[in-house]
Amino acid sequence: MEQSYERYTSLLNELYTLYQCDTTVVALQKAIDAQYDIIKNPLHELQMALPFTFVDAILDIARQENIGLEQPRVAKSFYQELIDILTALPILELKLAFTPTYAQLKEIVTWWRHLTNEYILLDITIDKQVLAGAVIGFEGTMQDLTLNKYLSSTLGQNKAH
Amino acid sequence: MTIGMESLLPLLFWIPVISVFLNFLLTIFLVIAVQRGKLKSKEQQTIENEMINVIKQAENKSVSIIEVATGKARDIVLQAHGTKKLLDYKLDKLVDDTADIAQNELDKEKAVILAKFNEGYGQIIQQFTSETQMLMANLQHDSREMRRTFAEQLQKEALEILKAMKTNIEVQIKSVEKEIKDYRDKTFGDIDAHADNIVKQIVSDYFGNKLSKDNHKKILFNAFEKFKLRHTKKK
Repeated sequence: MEQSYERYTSLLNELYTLYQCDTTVVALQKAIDAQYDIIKNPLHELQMALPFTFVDAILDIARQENIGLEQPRVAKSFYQELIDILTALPILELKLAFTPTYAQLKEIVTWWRHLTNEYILLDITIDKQVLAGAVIGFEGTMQDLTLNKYLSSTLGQNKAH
Repeated sequence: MTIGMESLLPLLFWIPVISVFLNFLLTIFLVIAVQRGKLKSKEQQTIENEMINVIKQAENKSVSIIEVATGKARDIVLQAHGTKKLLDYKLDKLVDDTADIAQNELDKEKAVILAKFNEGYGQIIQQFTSETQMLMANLQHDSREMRRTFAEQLQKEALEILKAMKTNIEVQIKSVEKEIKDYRDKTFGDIDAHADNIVKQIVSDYFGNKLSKDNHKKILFNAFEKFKLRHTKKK
């Protein structure tokens, strides 16, 4: 993992998917906007939009780094920094035949983060035609490692013979 | 020279007309002379009397001339009528005589022509017989020649037909062989496709319904390992 991500580890470890990341970015943006609205509380905006584990992680980071979130300018800078980091994370595209459980999602992310040494985010789509396996897209390459592809090529070979 | 009815009729018409015309001129002349007043009344009376007499005389003369002319014309017409009857009779007689003479001449000519025809016909028959014999002989010769040529031609054409049939049959056999091969390939292809569909359907049903999430996860991680190998090789 890159050095710059170390202070955000507690948040990044909670993020598995692109959807979670997008939700977090939107919530942080709302918190920034709330700085300019006297009737809105930025922290409340975060709590309304995100799971409590995410909010806790964000507050932990601020506490550890001694960032005063009550100061609007400092808070805004902190939230913006988080947005910049989240939007720069690499994405792994997966087309699967089944919907993985939360535990399986965690296993998948762990495996890939171990392989790539990056905080990758999963962009998962479900397609029953895949049958089993996955179509994997990463760093500009796309590989079809599905049972459907295997069957098609095997049956096609038989036909050719 | 005979005067015809057609030449007499204009004469009978023109004589009275001319006579009346002359009298008319004379009368006019006298009237003009009186009007000029050159004559004295007595003389005038005398002249008028004379003129009336002259007119009466002229009228009587004209009437008599017309009567004479009419009588002459009637005579001429009667004469002409008699002449016409005579001429008709003579003409009929002449026609009858001429017809008899012509018939006699015709009979004579007919007899001569018949004799010549009989003579010519005999010659023609003789000539025809000899020519027919020659023609028959020629025809027999030609017939033999034609039969020989025909037999040769027939043999040649039969050989060509047989050769064409052989070629055609070979082409047809090849075509049928190709059709059989195509049909076999298509049928096997269809069977393969059908079998593939069945296999795909069974596999799809199995993996879609029977495969557990754990097994899916195992297969998925195998895929990840494959990706890892390929990705590492690429790098």
